[in-house]
Amino acid sequence: MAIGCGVDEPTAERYLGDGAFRRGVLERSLWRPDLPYSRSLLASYALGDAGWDLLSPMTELTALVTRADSEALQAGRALSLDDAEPVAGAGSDVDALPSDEAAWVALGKRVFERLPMRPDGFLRYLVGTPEIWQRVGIRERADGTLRGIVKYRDVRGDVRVGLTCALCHASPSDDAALAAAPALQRNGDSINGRADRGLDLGLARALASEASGVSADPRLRSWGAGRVDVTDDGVNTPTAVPDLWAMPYKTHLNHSGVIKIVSPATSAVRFETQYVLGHRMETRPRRALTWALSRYIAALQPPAPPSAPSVPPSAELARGKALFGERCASCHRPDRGFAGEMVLASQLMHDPAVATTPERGTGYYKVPSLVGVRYGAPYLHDGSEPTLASLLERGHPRGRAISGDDQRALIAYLETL
Amino acid sequence: MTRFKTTFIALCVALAALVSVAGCGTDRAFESRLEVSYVSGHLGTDQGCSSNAKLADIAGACAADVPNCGGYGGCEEGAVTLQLANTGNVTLLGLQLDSLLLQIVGGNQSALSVLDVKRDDGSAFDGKLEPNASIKIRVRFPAPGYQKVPKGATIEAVIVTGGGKQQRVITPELHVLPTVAT
Repeated sequence: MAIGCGVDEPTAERYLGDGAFRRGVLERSLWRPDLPYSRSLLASYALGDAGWDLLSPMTELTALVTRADSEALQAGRALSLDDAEPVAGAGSDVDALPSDEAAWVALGKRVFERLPMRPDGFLRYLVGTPEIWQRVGIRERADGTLRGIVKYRDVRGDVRVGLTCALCHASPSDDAALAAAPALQRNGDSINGRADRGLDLGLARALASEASGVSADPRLRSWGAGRVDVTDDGVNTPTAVPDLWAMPYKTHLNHSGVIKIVSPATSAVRFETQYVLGHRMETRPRRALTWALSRYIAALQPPAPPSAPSVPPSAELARGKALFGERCASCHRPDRGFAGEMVLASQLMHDPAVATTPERGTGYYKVPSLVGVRYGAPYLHDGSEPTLASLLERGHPRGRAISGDDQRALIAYLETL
Repeated sequence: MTRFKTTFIALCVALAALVSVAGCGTDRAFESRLEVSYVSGHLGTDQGCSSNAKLADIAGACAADVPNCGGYGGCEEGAVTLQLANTGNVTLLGLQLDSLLLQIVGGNQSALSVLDVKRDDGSAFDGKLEPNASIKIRVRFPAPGYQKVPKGATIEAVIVTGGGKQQRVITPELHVLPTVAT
């Protein structure tokens, strides 16, 4: 299959060592440079003698938060970093780069699970208040750790509680699913890459705010589990946390496609700026870590398709595949991982709000990849359609015309992707 | 005699020229030079702020391990980080922030009150900078709030040396701190 990028052939060395290359990737990927989100990155990223290149690097000693840390916070004690270790692993040499793709991916897995994307005051409250864990979808694992929540010392020297990619983009799974998952995606009781649709960060933030005597923005409680509002523009536009597989096939990032994937380095640049923004623009991640993360995300795969006994009759599948070719494939291109270019939000049936936010609104929605779509419910950018059937009936302009046996056949085919 | 006098005068002129050049060189050798570069900045956020809370006591600003350190709502001051470089070869003393001006995109200019000026590692800034050294300082100010700066703002910072020399830097357009950042 062709991939949705390939304008150039970046290597780790070019991303790591060539500021002009990074700047070029950023400029070409932000195809709407007029938007505030784009302007904020263009003003400061990869300028060389000014801007974020001058930031001090992040500290890399972190530890997953445990029940013991929760008890310390409840008792008013300081968090200990005695159990912290480098993100790259105990005894790792920060000057030594991985020697091959497998080693980059392995490092990326640790970054995904252990490098704090941002500190957050509400996380400290969350860790220290175990009675709300179940309510907001936090699950203590058998080893006492909380997935995706770490402690570390920030650039100011203060001990913080931060979240990693694994808080939102990994999901608790049953033993059978875990056994079937690739080793590089297993993360304790969870599978990396699959969004945690039971995690309610809006509620967690609201409870934390109220606990400190500050009235919570009522919009936080409206997000619901598995959804967050990623823009700070005064407009309440919570979106579904996406699964992270099929990255090699994507043409754009973010629901409104504000970032065009122009190179395999686009996601590394994206992650780098994401960490900088998350840490209040006070520090930057080591680029070897963001390159490793980009390689890891590119390697993530959905769980295997259903086993043979549950696969529908081949005739139905064939009919579904033919229908897909007729009705769906012009946008969800099979040769591009069933993803496609952008579509005007005004041509779709669902809420255009996310496509028109002041900060990142392009007027378009990206056409998502359908790889692993059987695991993607609820559907659409805002998670408003609970099933593929409801999506076809209510949420998709071409789906309405497909009903009865045709709809069943199409869904049967989609569930094999 | 005349020839000797002419030669003597020529030597004096040459010597004077040398002294002059040397004098300029001496001045340059002890000249202090401050270069100020923009590093990063944001306008903070007033989300989750309590109207009666001290900004410095909010969770984003105080150490996470300090008991009762404040709110959890994400309230955060604005901040600008600058790099100060001494490219001369005398120690700079008495460096300080002279003024901080907010220029709202499409709006007015106003002076910002400064909460504190520290080095970027959180340590105190003593206003001293050795030759050929550079440091980063972080200037914090109250978040103006999204409603006031929906389209962002630039900030002009003026740094003065103990000798009264000024260096001015204007940031690119800064924005409210994202509370989710994804």
